[in-house]
Amino acid sequence: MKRLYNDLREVINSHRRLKFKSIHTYGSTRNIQEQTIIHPLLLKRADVLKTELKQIGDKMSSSAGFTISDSKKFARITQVVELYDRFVKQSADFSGLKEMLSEPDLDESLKEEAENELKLTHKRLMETSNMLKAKLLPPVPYADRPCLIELRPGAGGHEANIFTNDLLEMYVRFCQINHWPFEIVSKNEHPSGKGIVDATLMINEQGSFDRMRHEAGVHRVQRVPETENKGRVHTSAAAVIVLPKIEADKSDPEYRKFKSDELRIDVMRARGSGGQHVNTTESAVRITHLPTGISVHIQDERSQLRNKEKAMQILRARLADLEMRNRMAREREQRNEQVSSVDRSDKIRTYNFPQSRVTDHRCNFTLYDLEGCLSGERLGELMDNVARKETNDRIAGILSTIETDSSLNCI
Amino acid sequence: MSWLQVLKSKFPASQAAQELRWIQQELPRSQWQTAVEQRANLVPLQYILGSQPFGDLTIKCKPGVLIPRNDTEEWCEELKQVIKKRNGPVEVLEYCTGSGCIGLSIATLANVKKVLSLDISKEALALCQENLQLNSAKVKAEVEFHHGDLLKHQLPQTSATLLLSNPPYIPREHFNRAGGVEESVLKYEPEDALVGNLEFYSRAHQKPSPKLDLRYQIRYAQKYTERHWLETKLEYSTVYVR
Repeated sequence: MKRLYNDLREVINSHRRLKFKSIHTYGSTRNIQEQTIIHPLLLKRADVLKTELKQIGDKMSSSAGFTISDSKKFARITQVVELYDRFVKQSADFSGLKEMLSEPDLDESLKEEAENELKLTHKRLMETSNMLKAKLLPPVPYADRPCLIELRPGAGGHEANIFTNDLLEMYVRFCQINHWPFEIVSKNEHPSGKGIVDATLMINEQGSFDRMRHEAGVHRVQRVPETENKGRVHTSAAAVIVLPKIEADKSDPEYRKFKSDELRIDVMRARGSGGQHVNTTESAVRITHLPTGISVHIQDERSQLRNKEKAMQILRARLADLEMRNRMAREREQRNEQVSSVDRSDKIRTYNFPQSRVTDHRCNFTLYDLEGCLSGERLGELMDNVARKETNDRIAGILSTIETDSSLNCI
Repeated sequence: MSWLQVLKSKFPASQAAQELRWIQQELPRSQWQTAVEQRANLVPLQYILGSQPFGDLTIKCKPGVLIPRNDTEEWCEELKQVIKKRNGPVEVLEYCTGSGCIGLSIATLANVKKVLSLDISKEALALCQENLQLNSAKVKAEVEFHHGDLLKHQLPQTSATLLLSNPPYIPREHFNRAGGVEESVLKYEPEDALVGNLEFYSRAHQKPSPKLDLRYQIRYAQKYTERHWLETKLEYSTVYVR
């Protein structure tokens, strides 16, 4: 048994040596990526870091102008490079084992042992690759949270109201397909009964913020509106805003208590004397956050208290979003990062009815199934493409900061 | 005319749309037509739908008993915050309870031991019992509803430490459109739950309990009764008015 095992190790090691060579070049990381889903650009970044580490090491040993920030950087990069080295080694083990198992005349007992070893290596490799990914690409703020989606019509008159409602229905179906719990927190219908003036959808699914955040931006529709009798194609738009949900209790680390002079809460008072003189049904509430001027108006529920709770829920989400944006802008400034982020006012997607297609302008992806998109069934495909593009952009952004500016504060 | 148009002819557009939506959400389709017609005749929406939200509670509403007001709800929510902070078990006496909304809301608090609510109207007391049943999952304190005429000295023996009341406060001479009372209120809500003046406040001044630390909290309309009057005449340790 012992001898067999040694034979096995020998075979593995020879494979490892063989594989190790090819892994170091950027072009051959494809099969690693397949097994562990680490983006090749990320691996390239790790490679860059490794070179950087060597340079700092040289600087250290020559002791020419070595500073405290250098030593901090050294410690930081060392962590990443260690993980990277481990990843490369485990990848090699994994490939070697796989190759060995594909050999047709493999001894039965050897095969069994190799299979066990393969399982173990795979598990270790997944762990390492997840840790490495997290180190290389900073996480998206609030990624693990539930979310709120706000919808508002843009240019295009009544047709924009109708399109906004189409988008709301698309997201509702998307939730249903994914079995995500959701609630339409507020919805103001257009006076004509067709279309909406605004709406807020809450998706109570952990991590839905990360999935839905790519939906933020201006959505454009091209079609012959129901309201148009001359058969002309119109272009109109709707804005989608995606906010992270903050719980309204202290168990949420993001929860904040408002000072009494920070909020102005207006309840809709009945005209005239109020009190016993009227049996008003008005229950609308407007909450204004004075320092930022953010104002939320809710009137959906018959209960004023419920309207107030909903308005606070939305206010908290909007404030969290605002703070996140400010923080990201500051960080970008600090790093002199050149990567442009998607602005809220940017047109992100076009729903073209005559050609029955949906085109996402950020990733230049067109889905030739408008129906399937609006029914929520194929919306996910569009999202996947945008998410992939965003990941690439973020990595490219990080790489460019490494290459142009050698300070590695972004780790 | 569509239902929306019918309602729009009586109410502002946004209110009409809102009320139609609530009617369609809460009533079966077969009742929509009648509901819209009634509402156009100014029957209070709360009587048509049969309820009114009040804080965390849902209060059943019936013709003959006053509908809980929005600003009473607000006052009651504030009051709950005040009572929550008090030490020890609180015992409450309430005058003119109507639908029972105030007493039941206070009875949801953990530190309230007992609530005794009075009303002159037998109809109101029957509805109070229904509302107690309806909200029994949330009510924590022992709650009793008794018949009592505040103006005829039919006051119960009680060891209450807190007196609450939202008594009728529209003076007789103002109980009309010119006095600012809505047509819907004049036509459909019980007059005896609305018309009243200082007599209710002065009756409340006569303490039913010998305990001197009785706290007195009362709601009044500043327009007709003066805060000053309440504060100087009443000798309770706290006057909480709004």
